[in-house]
Amino acid sequence: MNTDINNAPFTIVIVEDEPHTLNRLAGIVGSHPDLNLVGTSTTFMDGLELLLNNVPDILLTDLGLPDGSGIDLIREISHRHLKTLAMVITVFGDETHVIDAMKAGASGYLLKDSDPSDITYSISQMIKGGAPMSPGIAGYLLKYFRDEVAPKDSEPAKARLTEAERAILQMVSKGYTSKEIAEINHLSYYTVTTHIKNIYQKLSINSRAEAVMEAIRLGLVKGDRD
Amino acid sequence: MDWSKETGIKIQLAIGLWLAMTLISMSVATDGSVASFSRLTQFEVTRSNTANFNANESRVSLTLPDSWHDHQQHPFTHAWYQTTLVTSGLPHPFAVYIPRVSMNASVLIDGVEIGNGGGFTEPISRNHGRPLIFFAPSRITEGVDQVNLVIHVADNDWALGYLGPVYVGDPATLVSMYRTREFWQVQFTVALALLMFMFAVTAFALFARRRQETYFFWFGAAMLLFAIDTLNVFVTDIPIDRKTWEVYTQGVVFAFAIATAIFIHRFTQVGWPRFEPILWLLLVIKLTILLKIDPTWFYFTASIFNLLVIGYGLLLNFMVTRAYLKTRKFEAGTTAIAGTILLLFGFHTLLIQAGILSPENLHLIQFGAPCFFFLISLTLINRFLHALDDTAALASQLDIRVREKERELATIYEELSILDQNRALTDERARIMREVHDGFGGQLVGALAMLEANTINRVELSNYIKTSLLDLRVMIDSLDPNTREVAVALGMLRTRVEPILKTRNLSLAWDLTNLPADLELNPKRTLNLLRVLQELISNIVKHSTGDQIKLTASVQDSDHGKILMILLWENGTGFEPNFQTGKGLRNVRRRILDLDGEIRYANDQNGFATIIVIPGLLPAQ
Repeated sequence: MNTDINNAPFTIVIVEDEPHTLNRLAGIVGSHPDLNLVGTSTTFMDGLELLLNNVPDILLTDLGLPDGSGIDLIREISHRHLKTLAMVITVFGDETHVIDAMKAGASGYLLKDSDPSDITYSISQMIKGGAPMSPGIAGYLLKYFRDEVAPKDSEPAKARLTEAERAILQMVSKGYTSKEIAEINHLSYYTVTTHIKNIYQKLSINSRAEAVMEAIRLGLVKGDRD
Repeated sequence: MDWSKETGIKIQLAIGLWLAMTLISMSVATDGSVASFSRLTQFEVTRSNTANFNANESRVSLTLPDSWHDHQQHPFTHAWYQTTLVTSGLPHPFAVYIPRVSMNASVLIDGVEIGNGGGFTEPISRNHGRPLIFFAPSRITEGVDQVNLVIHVADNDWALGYLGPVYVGDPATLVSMYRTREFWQVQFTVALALLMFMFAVTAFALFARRRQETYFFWFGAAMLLFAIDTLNVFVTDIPIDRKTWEVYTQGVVFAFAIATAIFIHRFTQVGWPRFEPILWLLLVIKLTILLKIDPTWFYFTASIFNLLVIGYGLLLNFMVTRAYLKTRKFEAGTTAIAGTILLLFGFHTLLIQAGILSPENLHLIQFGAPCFFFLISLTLINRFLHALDDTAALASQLDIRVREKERELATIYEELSILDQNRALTDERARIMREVHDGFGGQLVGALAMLEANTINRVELSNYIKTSLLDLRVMIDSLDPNTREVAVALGMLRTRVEPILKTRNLSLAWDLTNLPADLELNPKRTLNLLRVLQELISNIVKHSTGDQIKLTASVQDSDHGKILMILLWENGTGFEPNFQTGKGLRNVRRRILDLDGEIRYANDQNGFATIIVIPGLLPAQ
């Protein structure tokens, strides 16, 4: 993907069932010179059609849709190996919703009531490779990776955190911003955001490995030993 | 299963076995006539008090068996029984078989000794418990028509000399008879004695485990004494002087009888336990007297004491039998049967010793006592099995009761759990209600009032709703298990208030360097803390004249554990806290009280600081 936001407008699709929120988001995105809103939808099915027909650079999706879940839309992107970067729109930004979306392959999340400038800033950060992470999510991830045990022979290898990633997660969980973390640790801002993005990718990889193991356990997929 | 019935059958079997055994032994004792040998009973006897045979001594014809030494009529310690054997009627070689002799015998053919049962000088070998057999080589009878057979017998003043019929004939046949008799009289009896010894050890082991069951001890003691007495019969050469030995054997037999009586007292709860010391006293008196008197009156005196104890045995057996007929208690029944057998066999042996029955008979007491112990052992096993059954039944009942109690406990636990849940739910509802009332509920009502009054101020309305959302988010964050750690909860608060600070161009410096990540507060306390900070920050946003805020959180050790210290500083002029009128600050004070914490304010030229101290931090789960 070309990440030069100044030269190439990025196509974007928004799926949100609340019409006023949808209109607000569409207005913010539509008025941004670098973002090209190619379609909006209030349902899962229409959103899926928009996604598959347009394969946009960015998908903004709510999770609770009247005929499905935004997480399934995100899974479609991973499943079909589409270039689209998915971003979840959430009211609370709570761990339960965001983590599930991140596990499915989302690259970021937005609070629905964020200021217009915050919304476009978050989108541009995501395009540049950044990923937002709240202290609550960092706290969850610290526990998630701490509790990981060494996989058995028959299990797919699981990604583990590096010491640097763990230190960054620790600071994020305490409420430090990426900029502050970079300053305190004498790192570049880009390095910190890359670490955060890598942590999300590891979460997604492990999540897929867990899904495979669960499928093997349920007899849906044959393991290597069988 | 009816153990009484089964054990009763066992008893019958045991009695059958005993009868069969007795019949066999009796038949062996009579040694029925077989054609290949002769049973010699006609002899001429010469008696003397010295071991030197004088062929010229007067001879007396008699018929065997003969009690040749009885202290009154024949006070001699040696005797020679002579007869003539016609060689044509004998096999070559031939054997001389002596089933019973007291105490020692040697056999001479034409003056040549062909064998003996041991020493003829003191201590004289004791063979009264074993048969003897000797072999005459062929050369002795070669070329002669007849030979002179002499049986030399000897004992001492302590014995009652006896010689039973003598068998002469085919060596193979007589060896067979000798072995049969030797088996019953020696080997089988020795085996029984050893068995008794092992039973005694088992009984002692049981007593060691169950000291309150004293009958185990007396049962073991009786069996042990019987085993010792039985083995005494087969000691050919005694290691001590004869008198001491006889006193010792008399003591063992008497002690066996006392131990058996005491066992019956303890086992059946019948008899006179108070009589036990008298029995022991009798033993002491008996032994003391026996040590003092000479052989002439030794056995007579011993018999009087023995009769006393047999008399008590008869009485005791009668009482046990009567107790069984009254109570039908299994122990009493079996003991009565076993006691009767023991007394009958003892009486049989007494008749032999009294000379009423031929000494040729086997001493049935040797079999009677094991029979007694066998029957009692069966009863003890039966009692043990009953105890096992009772234990199993009790264990089963206990198991059932434990299960019932478990179920009851589970039910109580479930009820308590429901009560707890209900109480927790009620508490949680009250807490949320208060949060709604103090927080976004009030904001929403304000927004609604504005809408209904048609005095819509868009900025104010937006603020109402934004504040409501913030309240909701902070509440949700406090309930999130991932924000239970104080550091994470504070971090979340920062992300929540940052957009508001941004609208006022307030910068927030954040320092949680000295706040460990692994300290927790419970959700209620977390929410109170977040609400306090939210209110204080909100006040800064509303009233501060500065443009910088700094929040520092750290942990310090105190006498009451770890305490959390939060310093909120702003570079403005601050405000005079009024807890009476300001609703927000009233809530702050209430929440600080809920937290058992403290709040202080400090003002100087650099700015305004609020210090919060919260105790009771917990290590992370």
